[in-house]
Amino acid sequence: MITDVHADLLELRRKIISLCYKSGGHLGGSLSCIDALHTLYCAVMNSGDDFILSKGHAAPALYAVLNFIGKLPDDIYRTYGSEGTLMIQHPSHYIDGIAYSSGALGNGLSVGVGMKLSKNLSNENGRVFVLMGDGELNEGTVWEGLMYAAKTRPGGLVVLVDNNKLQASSSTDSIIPLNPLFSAVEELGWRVEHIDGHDHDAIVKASSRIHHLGEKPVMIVLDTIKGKGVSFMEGDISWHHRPLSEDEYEAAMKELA
Amino acid sequence: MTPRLDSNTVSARMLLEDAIGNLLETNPSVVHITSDGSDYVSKCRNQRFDVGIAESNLINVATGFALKNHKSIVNGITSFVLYNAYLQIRNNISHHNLPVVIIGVGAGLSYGHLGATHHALEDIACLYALPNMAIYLPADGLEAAAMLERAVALGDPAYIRIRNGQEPIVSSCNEYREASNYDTPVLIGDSRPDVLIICYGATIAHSLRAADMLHKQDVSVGVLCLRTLSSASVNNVISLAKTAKHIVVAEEHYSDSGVGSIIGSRINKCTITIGVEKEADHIGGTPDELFVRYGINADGIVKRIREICLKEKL
Repeated sequence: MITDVHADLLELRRKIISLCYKSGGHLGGSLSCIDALHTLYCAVMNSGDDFILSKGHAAPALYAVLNFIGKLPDDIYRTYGSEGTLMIQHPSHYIDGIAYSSGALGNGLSVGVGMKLSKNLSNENGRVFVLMGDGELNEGTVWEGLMYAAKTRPGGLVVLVDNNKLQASSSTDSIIPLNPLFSAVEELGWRVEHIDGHDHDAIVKASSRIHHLGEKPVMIVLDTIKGKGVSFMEGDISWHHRPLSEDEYEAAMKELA
Repeated sequence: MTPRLDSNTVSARMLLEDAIGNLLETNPSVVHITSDGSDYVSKCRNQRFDVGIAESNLINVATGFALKNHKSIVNGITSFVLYNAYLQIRNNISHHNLPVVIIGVGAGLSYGHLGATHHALEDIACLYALPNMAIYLPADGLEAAAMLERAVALGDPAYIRIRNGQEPIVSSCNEYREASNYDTPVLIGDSRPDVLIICYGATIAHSLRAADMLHKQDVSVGVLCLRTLSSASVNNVISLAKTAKHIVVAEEHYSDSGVGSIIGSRINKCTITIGVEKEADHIGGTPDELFVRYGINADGIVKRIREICLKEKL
Protein backbone atom coordinates (compact mmCIF):
# COMPACT_ATOMS: atom_id res chain seq x y z
CA MET A 1 0.00 0.00 0.00
CA ILE A 2 1.20 3.47 -0.69
CA THR A 3 1.54 5.79 2.27
CA ASP A 4 2.10 9.16 0.67
CA VAL A 5 0.86 9.55 -2.85
CA HIS A 6 1.94 13.16 -3.07
CA ALA A 7 5.54 12.38 -2.08
CA ASP A 8 5.65 9.42 -4.44
CA LEU A 9 4.51 11.53 -7.35
CA LEU A 10 7.00 14.27 -6.62
CA GLU A 11 9.76 11.68 -6.67
CA LEU A 12 8.44 10.07 -9.87
CA ARG A 13 8.21 13.44 -11.61
CA ARG A 14 11.77 14.23 -10.55
CA LYS A 15 12.85 10.91 -11.99
CA ILE A 16 11.15 11.71 -15.31
CA ILE A 17 12.73 15.17 -15.44
CA SER A 18 16.15 13.66 -14.69
CA LEU A 19 15.85 10.99 -17.37
CA CYS A 20 14.78 13.50 -20.01
CA TYR A 21 17.39 16.05 -18.96
CA LYS A 22 20.05 13.39 -19.30
CA SER A 23 19.06 12.10 -22.68
CA GLY A 24 15.80 13.46 -24.03
CA GLY A 25 12.36 11.95 -24.10
CA HIS A 26 8.72 12.91 -24.28
CA LEU A 27 8.36 15.01 -21.16
CA GLY A 28 4.86 16.43 -21.45
CA GLY A 29 3.07 13.14 -22.08
CA SER A 30 5.12 11.36 -19.41
CA LEU A 31 4.17 13.93 -16.79
CA SER A 32 0.49 13.77 -17.72
CA CYS A 33 0.19 10.00 -17.25
CA ILE A 34 2.51 9.37 -14.32
CA ASP A 35 -0.35 9.61 -11.82
CA ALA A 36 -2.20 6.81 -13.63
CA LEU A 37 0.93 4.66 -13.95
CA HIS A 38 1.76 5.14 -10.29
CA THR A 39 -1.77 4.24 -9.25
CA LEU A 40 -1.89 1.15 -11.47
CA TYR A 41 1.48 -0.20 -10.36
CA CYS A 42 1.20 0.73 -6.67
CA ALA A 43 -2.48 0.32 -5.88
CA VAL A 44 -4.36 -1.58 -8.57
CA MET A 45 -2.44 -4.26 -10.45
CA ASN A 46 -1.62 -7.69 -9.06
CA SER A 47 0.94 -10.24 -10.20
CA GLY A 48 -1.46 -11.92 -12.63
CA ASP A 49 -2.29 -8.69 -14.43
CA ASP A 50 -0.66 -7.48 -17.64
CA PHE A 51 0.08 -3.94 -18.71
CA ILE A 52 0.69 -2.34 -22.10
CA LEU A 53 1.86 1.23 -22.47
CA SER A 54 0.27 1.87 -25.84
CA LYS A 55 1.45 5.51 -25.81
CA GLY A 56 5.01 4.24 -25.89
CA HIS A 57 6.52 7.72 -25.98
CA ALA A 58 5.72 7.95 -22.26
CA ALA A 59 8.51 5.41 -21.64
CA PRO A 60 10.28 7.74 -19.16
CA ALA A 61 7.18 7.54 -16.95
CA LEU A 62 7.07 3.75 -17.21
CA TYR A 63 10.79 3.41 -16.50
CA ALA A 64 10.47 5.76 -13.55
CA VAL A 65 7.64 3.81 -11.97
CA LEU A 66 9.21 0.39 -12.66
CA ASN A 67 12.43 1.57 -11.01
CA PHE A 68 10.47 3.18 -8.18
CA ILE A 69 8.74 -0.12 -7.29
CA GLY A 70 11.98 -2.09 -7.64
CA LYS A 71 11.17 -3.97 -10.85
CA LEU A 72 13.77 -2.17 -12.94
CA PRO A 73 17.19 -2.42 -11.30
CA ASP A 74 19.30 0.70 -10.87
CA ASP A 75 22.18 -0.67 -12.94
CA ILE A 76 19.89 -0.89 -15.97
CA TYR A 77 17.88 2.23 -15.15
CA ARG A 78 21.02 4.35 -15.05
CA THR A 79 21.92 3.39 -18.61
CA TYR A 80 19.09 5.50 -20.11
CA GLY A 81 20.58 7.48 -22.96
CA SER A 82 23.90 5.63 -22.95
CA GLU A 83 25.28 3.92 -26.01
CA GLY A 84 24.17 0.29 -26.04
CA THR A 85 21.32 0.77 -23.57
CA LEU A 86 18.13 -1.28 -23.63
CA MET A 87 16.39 1.74 -22.10
CA ILE A 88 15.44 3.39 -25.35
CA GLN A 89 12.92 6.21 -25.57
CA HIS A 90 10.08 3.77 -26.19
CA PRO A 91 9.45 0.67 -24.06
CA SER A 92 11.40 -2.43 -25.02
CA HIS A 93 10.38 -6.01 -24.34
CA TYR A 94 14.08 -6.74 -23.77
CA ILE A 95 13.56 -5.20 -20.32
CA ASP A 96 12.05 -7.47 -17.68
CA GLY A 97 8.56 -6.37 -16.76
CA ILE A 98 7.76 -4.92 -20.18
CA ALA A 99 5.70 -7.32 -22.28
CA TYR A 100 5.31 -5.32 -25.44
CA SER A 101 7.56 -2.90 -27.30
CA SER A 102 5.32 0.01 -28.18
CA GLY A 103 6.10 3.25 -29.95
CA ALA A 104 4.05 2.93 -33.11
CA LEU A 105 0.77 4.39 -31.88
CA GLY A 106 -2.60 2.70 -32.15
CA ASN A 107 -1.65 -0.90 -31.50
CA GLY A 108 -1.72 -1.51 -27.75
CA LEU A 109 -5.47 -1.80 -27.50
CA SER A 110 -5.92 -4.69 -29.90
CA VAL A 111 -2.77 -6.43 -28.62
CA GLY A 112 -4.39 -6.15 -25.20
CA VAL A 113 -7.61 -7.67 -26.52
CA GLY A 114 -5.60 -10.63 -27.83
CA MET A 115 -3.80 -11.02 -24.51
CA LYS A 116 -7.07 -11.05 -22.59
CA LEU A 117 -8.71 -13.51 -24.97
CA SER A 118 -5.64 -15.73 -24.59
CA LYS A 119 -5.88 -15.57 -20.80
CA ASN A 120 -9.58 -16.41 -20.95
CA LEU A 121 -8.93 -19.40 -23.21
CA SER A 122 -6.27 -20.68 -20.80
CA ASN A 123 -8.57 -20.07 -17.80
CA GLU A 124 -5.96 -17.68 -16.42
CA ASN A 125 -7.05 -15.01 -14.01
CA GLY A 126 -5.71 -11.52 -14.31
CA ARG A 127 -6.70 -8.40 -16.12
CA VAL A 128 -5.05 -6.52 -18.98
CA PHE A 129 -4.54 -2.78 -18.57
CA VAL A 130 -3.79 -0.61 -21.59
CA LEU A 131 -2.79 3.03 -21.28
CA MET A 132 -3.33 5.04 -24.44
CA GLY A 133 -2.85 8.64 -25.47
CA ASP A 134 -5.72 10.79 -26.67
CA GLY A 135 -4.01 11.67 -29.94
CA GLU A 136 -3.57 7.95 -30.47
CA LEU A 137 -7.30 7.68 -31.10
CA ASN A 138 -6.60 9.22 -34.52
CA GLU A 139 -5.20 5.83 -35.55
CA GLY A 140 -7.59 3.59 -37.49
CA THR A 141 -6.18 0.49 -35.83
CA VAL A 142 -7.62 1.72 -32.52
CA TRP A 143 -11.09 1.55 -34.02
CA GLU A 144 -10.51 -1.99 -35.25
CA GLY A 145 -9.60 -2.90 -31.68
CA LEU A 146 -12.52 -0.97 -30.19
CA MET A 147 -14.99 -2.79 -32.43
CA TYR A 148 -13.45 -6.17 -31.75
CA ALA A 149 -13.43 -5.69 -27.98
CA ALA A 150 -17.06 -4.54 -28.10
CA LYS A 151 -17.90 -7.71 -29.98
CA THR A 152 -15.91 -10.18 -27.88
CA ARG A 153 -16.45 -8.51 -24.48
CA PRO A 154 -13.52 -10.37 -22.97
CA GLY A 155 -13.97 -8.89 -19.47
CA GLY A 156 -11.06 -7.62 -17.41
CA LEU A 157 -9.74 -5.40 -20.19
CA VAL A 158 -9.21 -1.92 -18.77
CA VAL A 159 -8.36 0.83 -21.24
CA LEU A 160 -7.24 4.18 -19.90
CA VAL A 161 -6.88 7.20 -22.16
CA ASP A 162 -4.51 9.97 -21.11
CA ASN A 163 -6.64 12.84 -22.36
CA ASN A 164 -4.09 15.63 -22.04
CA LYS A 165 -5.62 17.40 -25.03
CA LEU A 166 -2.34 18.18 -26.78
CA GLN A 167 -0.61 16.22 -29.51
CA ALA A 168 2.82 16.64 -31.10
CA SER A 169 2.00 19.68 -33.21
CA SER A 170 -1.22 21.18 -31.92
CA SER A 171 -4.24 20.69 -29.71
CA THR A 172 -6.26 17.51 -30.07
CA ASP A 173 -9.38 19.63 -30.65
CA SER A 174 -7.82 21.39 -33.61
CA ILE A 175 -6.52 18.19 -35.22
CA ILE A 176 -9.25 15.58 -34.70
CA PRO A 177 -11.77 16.63 -32.05
CA LEU A 178 -12.31 13.81 -29.58
CA ASN A 179 -15.62 14.62 -27.96
CA PRO A 180 -17.76 13.07 -30.67
CA LEU A 181 -15.29 10.21 -30.80
CA PHE A 182 -15.75 9.32 -27.14
CA SER A 183 -19.53 9.26 -27.78
CA ALA A 184 -18.87 7.02 -30.73
CA VAL A 185 -16.93 4.63 -28.51
CA GLU A 186 -20.01 4.39 -26.30
CA GLU A 187 -22.18 3.79 -29.34
CA LEU A 188 -19.90 0.92 -30.32
CA GLY A 189 -20.77 -0.82 -27.07
CA TRP A 190 -18.25 0.46 -24.53
CA ARG A 191 -18.90 2.00 -21.15
CA VAL A 192 -16.97 5.27 -21.16
CA GLU A 193 -16.14 6.86 -17.84
CA HIS A 194 -14.53 10.31 -17.43
CA ILE A 195 -12.45 11.00 -14.33
CA ASP A 196 -9.75 13.38 -13.11
CA GLY A 197 -6.57 11.72 -14.30
CA HIS A 198 -4.54 13.27 -11.50
CA ASP A 199 -6.85 12.02 -8.74
CA HIS A 200 -5.37 8.87 -7.25
CA ASP A 201 -8.56 7.76 -5.50
CA ALA A 202 -10.66 8.25 -8.61
CA ILE A 203 -8.22 6.19 -10.69
CA VAL A 204 -8.20 3.43 -8.08
CA LYS A 205 -11.97 3.35 -7.95
CA ALA A 206 -12.50 3.34 -11.73
CA SER A 207 -9.77 0.88 -12.65
CA SER A 208 -10.33 -1.58 -9.81
CA ARG A 209 -13.93 -2.31 -10.65
CA ILE A 210 -14.36 -5.97 -11.53
CA HIS A 211 -15.25 -6.42 -15.18
CA HIS A 212 -16.88 -9.76 -15.85
CA LEU A 213 -16.73 -11.70 -19.08
CA GLY A 214 -19.60 -10.60 -21.28
CA GLU A 215 -19.86 -7.11 -19.79
CA LYS A 216 -19.27 -4.04 -21.89
CA PRO A 217 -15.56 -3.20 -22.04
CA VAL A 218 -14.67 -0.07 -20.11
CA MET A 219 -12.69 2.95 -21.26
CA ILE A 220 -11.58 5.31 -18.55
CA VAL A 221 -10.89 8.76 -19.98
CA LEU A 222 -8.36 10.50 -17.75
CA ASP A 223 -8.73 14.26 -17.78
CA THR A 224 -5.09 15.31 -17.52
CA ILE A 225 -2.74 18.23 -18.09
CA LYS A 226 0.24 17.78 -20.35
CA GLY A 227 3.41 18.62 -18.43
CA LYS A 228 1.53 18.32 -15.11
CA GLY A 229 3.54 19.24 -12.03
CA VAL A 230 5.96 21.75 -13.53
CA SER A 231 4.34 25.16 -13.85
CA PHE A 232 6.17 26.30 -16.96
CA MET A 233 5.50 23.02 -18.75
CA GLU A 234 1.80 22.62 -17.99
CA GLY A 235 -0.30 23.01 -21.11
CA ASP A 236 2.69 24.15 -23.16
CA ILE A 237 2.90 22.05 -26.30
CA SER A 238 6.59 22.80 -26.79
CA TRP A 239 7.32 20.34 -23.99
CA HIS A 240 6.01 17.42 -26.01
CA HIS A 241 9.59 16.44 -26.82
CA ARG A 242 12.01 19.22 -26.05
CA PRO A 243 15.41 19.15 -24.35
CA LEU A 244 15.79 20.86 -20.98
CA SER A 245 18.40 23.54 -20.46
CA GLU A 246 20.35 23.44 -17.21
CA ASP A 247 18.33 26.38 -15.86
CA GLU A 248 15.04 24.71 -16.83
CA TYR A 249 16.15 21.47 -15.25
CA GLU A 250 17.02 23.18 -11.99
CA ALA A 251 13.79 25.19 -11.98
CA ALA A 252 11.72 22.03 -12.57
CA MET A 253 13.54 20.07 -9.87
CA LYS A 254 13.06 22.95 -7.44
CA GLU A 255 9.30 22.95 -8.05
CA LEU A 256 9.22 19.19 -7.47
CA ALA A 257 11.39 19.20 -4.35
CA MET B 1 13.72 -35.76 -68.19
CA THR B 2 10.26 -37.28 -67.82
CA PRO B 3 7.12 -35.35 -66.99
CA ARG B 4 6.78 -34.99 -63.22
CA LEU B 5 3.41 -33.41 -62.85
CA ASP B 6 0.47 -35.19 -61.32
CA SER B 7 -2.69 -34.81 -63.37
CA ASN B 8 -4.68 -34.02 -60.22
CA THR B 9 -4.97 -30.56 -58.76
CA VAL B 10 -5.44 -29.41 -55.18
CA SER B 11 -6.45 -26.25 -53.38
CA ALA B 12 -3.78 -25.18 -50.92
CA ARG B 13 -6.34 -23.07 -49.07
CA MET B 14 -8.64 -26.02 -48.47
CA LEU B 15 -5.81 -28.39 -47.53
CA LEU B 16 -4.50 -25.83 -45.08
CA GLU B 17 -7.93 -25.43 -43.56
CA ASP B 18 -7.97 -29.18 -42.89
CA ALA B 19 -4.44 -28.98 -41.48
CA ILE B 20 -5.42 -26.07 -39.21
CA GLY B 21 -8.40 -28.03 -37.91
CA ASN B 22 -6.19 -30.99 -37.09
CA LEU B 23 -3.60 -28.81 -35.38
CA LEU B 24 -6.24 -27.12 -33.23
CA GLU B 25 -7.76 -30.48 -32.33
CA THR B 26 -4.48 -31.94 -31.15
CA ASN B 27 -3.00 -28.83 -29.59
CA PRO B 28 -5.09 -26.58 -27.33
CA SER B 29 -2.29 -24.00 -27.26
CA VAL B 30 -2.84 -23.18 -30.93
CA VAL B 31 -5.41 -20.62 -32.08
CA HIS B 32 -6.56 -19.66 -35.55
CA ILE B 33 -7.36 -16.03 -36.22
CA THR B 34 -8.76 -14.82 -39.49
CA SER B 35 -10.19 -11.69 -41.07
CA ASP B 36 -13.67 -12.33 -42.43
CA GLY B 37 -12.75 -15.92 -43.14
CA SER B 38 -14.74 -18.06 -40.75
CA ASP B 39 -17.40 -19.19 -43.20
CA TYR B 40 -15.80 -22.57 -43.80
CA VAL B 41 -14.80 -23.23 -40.20
CA SER B 42 -16.06 -26.34 -38.51
CA LYS B 43 -13.70 -27.82 -35.89
CA CYS B 44 -12.63 -26.27 -32.59
CA ARG B 45 -14.67 -23.08 -32.71
CA ASN B 46 -13.47 -21.95 -29.28
CA GLN B 47 -9.92 -21.72 -30.67
CA ARG B 48 -11.05 -19.69 -33.70
CA PHE B 49 -11.35 -15.93 -33.83
CA ASP B 50 -12.53 -13.71 -36.67
CA VAL B 51 -11.58 -10.05 -36.29
CA GLY B 52 -13.46 -8.93 -39.39
CA ILE B 53 -11.96 -7.07 -42.31
CA ALA B 54 -9.21 -5.56 -40.20
CA GLU B 55 -5.77 -6.93 -40.97
CA SER B 56 -3.84 -4.72 -38.56
CA ASN B 57 -6.13 -5.87 -35.79
CA LEU B 58 -5.65 -9.44 -37.01
CA ILE B 59 -1.91 -9.26 -36.43
CA ASN B 60 -2.29 -7.32 -33.18
CA VAL B 61 -4.74 -9.83 -31.73
CA ALA B 62 -2.45 -12.67 -32.82
CA THR B 63 0.37 -10.80 -31.09
CA GLY B 64 -1.61 -10.67 -27.88
CA PHE B 65 -2.24 -14.41 -28.01
CA ALA B 66 1.41 -15.08 -28.77
CA LEU B 67 2.62 -12.83 -25.94
CA LYS B 68 0.68 -15.07 -23.57
CA ASN B 69 0.61 -18.82 -24.06
CA HIS B 70 -0.76 -19.41 -27.53
CA LYS B 71 0.75 -20.08 -30.91
CA SER B 72 -1.25 -18.21 -33.52
CA ILE B 73 -2.07 -19.13 -37.09
CA VAL B 74 -3.47 -16.24 -39.09
CA ASN B 75 -4.64 -16.18 -42.66
CA GLY B 76 -5.93 -13.62 -45.06
CA ILE B 77 -5.65 -12.37 -48.61
CA THR B 78 -1.91 -11.91 -49.08
CA SER B 79 -1.92 -8.37 -50.40
CA PHE B 80 -4.09 -7.19 -47.50
CA VAL B 81 -2.68 -9.12 -44.58
CA LEU B 82 0.93 -8.34 -45.50
CA TYR B 83 0.67 -4.78 -46.71
CA ASN B 84 -2.15 -3.42 -44.58
CA ALA B 85 -0.51 -4.91 -41.49
CA TYR B 86 3.15 -4.63 -42.41
CA LEU B 87 3.86 -2.35 -39.46
CA GLN B 88 2.33 -4.85 -37.06
CA ILE B 89 4.14 -7.77 -38.70
CA ARG B 90 7.42 -5.86 -38.43
CA ASN B 91 7.09 -4.40 -34.94
CA ASN B 92 5.22 -7.25 -33.29
CA ILE B 93 5.80 -10.60 -34.96
CA SER B 94 9.29 -10.06 -36.33
CA HIS B 95 10.88 -7.83 -33.68
CA HIS B 96 9.31 -9.71 -30.76
CA ASN B 97 10.12 -13.05 -32.45
CA LEU B 98 6.65 -14.41 -31.75
CA PRO B 99 5.10 -17.78 -32.65
CA VAL B 100 2.75 -16.50 -35.33
CA VAL B 101 2.35 -18.23 -38.68
CA ILE B 102 0.94 -15.99 -41.40
CA ILE B 103 -0.73 -17.79 -44.27
CA GLY B 104 -1.02 -15.45 -47.21
CA VAL B 105 -3.66 -16.62 -49.69
CA GLY B 106 -3.24 -15.20 -53.18
CA ALA B 107 0.44 -15.21 -54.00
CA GLY B 108 1.52 -13.49 -57.17
CA LEU B 109 -1.08 -13.24 -59.90
CA SER B 110 -3.35 -15.98 -58.60
CA TYR B 111 -6.32 -13.65 -58.08
CA GLY B 112 -6.23 -13.03 -61.84
CA HIS B 113 -9.10 -10.80 -62.94
CA LEU B 114 -9.50 -9.31 -59.46
CA GLY B 115 -6.60 -7.13 -60.46
CA ALA B 116 -3.54 -5.42 -59.10
CA THR B 117 -5.03 -4.63 -55.68
CA HIS B 118 -5.33 -8.37 -55.08
CA HIS B 119 -2.07 -9.46 -56.66
CA ALA B 120 0.95 -9.95 -54.42
CA LEU B 121 4.13 -9.48 -56.40
CA GLU B 122 6.31 -7.94 -53.69
CA ASP B 123 5.67 -10.22 -50.70
CA ILE B 124 9.13 -11.78 -50.72
CA ALA B 125 10.81 -8.37 -50.96
CA CYS B 126 8.82 -7.21 -47.94
CA LEU B 127 9.23 -10.25 -45.72
CA TYR B 128 12.82 -11.20 -46.55
CA ALA B 129 13.76 -7.78 -45.17
CA LEU B 130 12.51 -8.71 -41.70
CA PRO B 131 14.51 -10.34 -38.91
CA ASN B 132 13.42 -13.75 -37.59
CA MET B 133 10.87 -14.31 -40.36
CA ALA B 134 10.83 -17.77 -41.92
CA ILE B 135 9.51 -17.76 -45.48
CA TYR B 136 7.95 -20.98 -46.75
CA LEU B 137 7.44 -21.41 -50.48
CA PRO B 138 5.34 -24.54 -50.89
CA ALA B 139 5.21 -26.22 -54.27
CA ASP B 140 1.55 -27.13 -53.76
CA GLY B 141 -1.13 -27.57 -51.11
CA LEU B 142 0.26 -30.88 -49.89
CA GLU B 143 3.61 -29.36 -49.09
CA ALA B 144 1.93 -26.25 -47.66
CA ALA B 145 0.04 -28.38 -45.12
CA ALA B 146 3.23 -30.15 -44.06
CA MET B 147 5.04 -26.81 -43.82
CA LEU B 148 2.29 -25.41 -41.61
CA GLU B 149 2.75 -28.28 -39.14
CA ARG B 150 6.49 -27.68 -39.17
CA ALA B 151 6.17 -23.92 -38.72
CA VAL B 152 3.75 -24.28 -35.81
CA ALA B 153 5.98 -26.88 -34.16
CA LEU B 154 9.04 -24.62 -34.44
CA GLY B 155 7.13 -21.66 -33.01
CA ASP B 156 9.01 -19.02 -34.98
CA PRO B 157 7.55 -16.14 -36.97
CA ALA B 158 6.67 -17.57 -40.34
CA TYR B 159 5.00 -16.73 -43.63
CA ILE B 160 3.55 -19.42 -45.86
CA ARG B 161 3.03 -18.30 -49.43
CA ILE B 162 0.11 -19.99 -51.16
CA ARG B 163 -1.93 -19.23 -54.23
CA ASN B 164 -5.66 -19.00 -54.53
CA GLY B 165 -7.38 -21.72 -56.54
CA GLN B 166 -6.60 -25.22 -57.75
CA GLU B 167 -2.95 -26.03 -58.43
CA PRO B 168 -1.13 -29.03 -59.91
CA ILE B 169 0.51 -31.45 -57.48
CA VAL B 170 4.29 -31.19 -57.70
CA SER B 171 5.58 -32.47 -54.39
CA SER B 172 4.58 -36.10 -54.88
CA CYS B 173 7.61 -36.91 -57.07
CA ASN B 174 10.56 -38.94 -55.81
CA GLU B 175 12.91 -35.97 -55.60
CA TYR B 176 10.60 -34.28 -53.09
CA ARG B 177 10.12 -37.46 -51.09
CA GLU B 178 13.88 -37.88 -50.82
CA ALA B 179 14.57 -34.25 -49.87
CA SER B 180 16.21 -33.89 -46.48
CA ASN B 181 14.86 -30.64 -45.12
CA TYR B 182 13.03 -27.52 -46.20
CA ASP B 183 16.19 -25.45 -46.45
CA THR B 184 17.57 -27.81 -49.08
CA PRO B 185 16.07 -27.01 -52.47
CA VAL B 186 14.84 -29.96 -54.47
CA LEU B 187 16.82 -30.59 -57.66
CA ILE B 188 14.90 -32.22 -60.48
CA GLY B 189 16.84 -33.11 -63.62
CA ASP B 190 20.50 -32.63 -64.43
CA SER B 191 22.91 -31.80 -61.61
CA ARG B 192 25.55 -30.27 -63.92
CA PRO B 193 23.24 -28.59 -66.40
CA ASP B 194 23.69 -26.06 -69.15
CA VAL B 195 20.82 -24.19 -67.58
CA LEU B 196 19.69 -24.27 -63.98
CA ILE B 197 16.17 -22.90 -63.48
CA ILE B 198 15.55 -21.79 -59.91
CA CYS B 199 11.85 -21.59 -59.13
CA TYR B 200 9.23 -21.85 -56.43
CA GLY B 201 5.47 -22.13 -56.10
CA ALA B 202 3.58 -21.87 -59.36
CA THR B 203 6.66 -21.46 -61.53
CA ILE B 204 7.83 -24.97 -60.58
CA ALA B 205 5.26 -26.65 -62.84
CA HIS B 206 6.07 -24.24 -65.67
CA SER B 207 9.81 -24.73 -65.19
CA LEU B 208 9.42 -28.50 -65.31
CA ARG B 209 7.47 -28.23 -68.55
CA ALA B 210 10.08 -25.83 -69.91
CA ALA B 211 12.82 -28.29 -68.95
CA ASP B 212 11.05 -31.07 -70.83
CA MET B 213 10.79 -28.86 -73.90
CA LEU B 214 14.47 -27.88 -73.72
CA HIS B 215 15.52 -31.50 -73.22
CA LYS B 216 13.89 -32.32 -76.50
CA GLN B 217 16.13 -29.66 -78.02
CA ASP B 218 19.18 -31.35 -76.43
CA VAL B 219 19.64 -28.69 -73.77
CA SER B 220 20.66 -30.01 -70.39
CA VAL B 221 18.46 -28.49 -67.68
CA GLY B 222 18.18 -28.76 -63.91
CA VAL B 223 15.15 -27.42 -62.06
CA LEU B 224 15.91 -26.28 -58.54
CA CYS B 225 12.76 -25.91 -56.46
CA LEU B 226 13.11 -23.57 -53.50
CA ARG B 227 11.08 -24.55 -50.43
CA THR B 228 12.13 -21.80 -48.04
CA LEU B 229 13.89 -18.52 -48.41
CA SER B 230 16.51 -18.25 -45.70
CA SER B 231 20.23 -17.70 -45.40
CA ALA B 232 20.61 -21.49 -45.30
CA SER B 233 18.53 -22.11 -48.41
CA VAL B 234 20.27 -19.31 -50.30
CA ASN B 235 23.65 -20.81 -49.39
CA ASN B 236 22.43 -24.19 -50.62
CA VAL B 237 21.29 -22.67 -53.90
CA ILE B 238 24.66 -21.00 -54.39
CA SER B 239 26.40 -24.28 -53.75
CA LEU B 240 24.18 -26.22 -56.15
CA ALA B 241 24.41 -23.52 -58.81
CA LYS B 242 28.19 -23.70 -59.06
CA THR B 243 28.13 -26.43 -61.67
CA ALA B 244 25.56 -24.79 -63.94
CA LYS B 245 26.62 -22.82 -66.98
CA HIS B 246 23.60 -20.51 -66.92
CA ILE B 247 21.36 -19.57 -64.02
CA VAL B 248 17.78 -18.50 -64.51
CA VAL B 249 15.30 -17.61 -61.80
CA ALA B 250 11.64 -17.98 -62.80
CA GLU B 251 9.33 -16.37 -60.29
CA GLU B 252 5.80 -15.09 -59.86
CA HIS B 253 7.07 -11.87 -58.28
CA TYR B 254 8.36 -8.53 -59.43
CA SER B 255 11.53 -9.40 -61.26
CA ASP B 256 13.86 -6.92 -59.58
CA SER B 257 13.05 -7.51 -55.93
CA GLY B 258 12.43 -11.21 -55.44
CA VAL B 259 14.47 -14.39 -55.29
CA GLY B 260 16.32 -13.47 -58.48
CA SER B 261 17.76 -10.33 -56.96
CA ILE B 262 18.57 -12.07 -53.67
CA ILE B 263 20.37 -14.95 -55.39
CA GLY B 264 21.88 -12.68 -58.02
CA SER B 265 23.46 -10.47 -55.39
CA ARG B 266 25.13 -13.46 -53.74
CA ILE B 267 26.32 -15.51 -56.67
CA ASN B 268 29.40 -14.96 -58.75
CA LYS B 269 27.59 -15.59 -62.00
CA CYS B 270 25.16 -13.76 -64.22
CA THR B 271 21.63 -14.55 -63.09
CA ILE B 272 18.70 -13.99 -65.40
CA THR B 273 15.38 -13.36 -63.68
CA ILE B 274 12.15 -14.14 -65.47
CA GLY B 275 9.46 -12.40 -63.45
CA VAL B 276 6.89 -9.64 -63.70
CA GLU B 277 8.05 -6.19 -64.71
CA LYS B 278 6.93 -3.52 -62.26
CA GLU B 279 5.00 -1.41 -64.70
CA ALA B 280 3.08 -4.37 -66.04
CA ASP B 281 0.54 -5.23 -63.40
CA HIS B 282 -2.57 -3.30 -64.39
CA ILE B 283 -4.01 -5.74 -66.89
CA GLY B 284 -6.88 -8.17 -66.37
CA GLY B 285 -6.74 -11.86 -67.19
CA THR B 286 -6.88 -15.30 -65.71
CA PRO B 287 -3.76 -16.34 -63.83
CA ASP B 288 -2.79 -18.59 -66.74
CA GLU B 289 -3.32 -15.79 -69.25
CA LEU B 290 -1.24 -13.42 -67.13
CA PHE B 291 1.54 -16.01 -66.92
CA VAL B 292 1.57 -16.08 -70.73
CA ARG B 293 1.48 -12.28 -70.96
CA TYR B 294 4.41 -11.86 -68.58
CA GLY B 295 6.36 -14.76 -70.03
CA ILE B 296 6.58 -16.81 -66.84
CA ASN B 297 4.77 -19.80 -68.34
CA ALA B 298 6.66 -22.75 -69.82
CA ASP B 299 6.77 -21.31 -73.35
CA GLY B 300 7.92 -17.94 -72.05
CA ILE B 301 10.66 -19.49 -69.93
CA VAL B 302 11.92 -21.53 -72.91
CA LYS B 303 11.84 -18.46 -75.15
CA ARG B 304 13.85 -16.33 -72.69
CA ILE B 305 16.36 -19.11 -72.07
CA ARG B 306 16.91 -19.58 -75.78
CA GLU B 307 17.21 -15.84 -76.37
CA ILE B 308 19.47 -14.97 -73.48
CA CYS B 309 21.39 -18.08 -72.48
CA LEU B 310 21.58 -20.14 -75.62
CA LYS B 311 22.22 -17.61 -78.33
CA GLU B 312 24.53 -20.07 -79.99
CA LYS B 313 21.70 -22.52 -80.44
CA LEU B 314 19.27 -20.12 -82.10
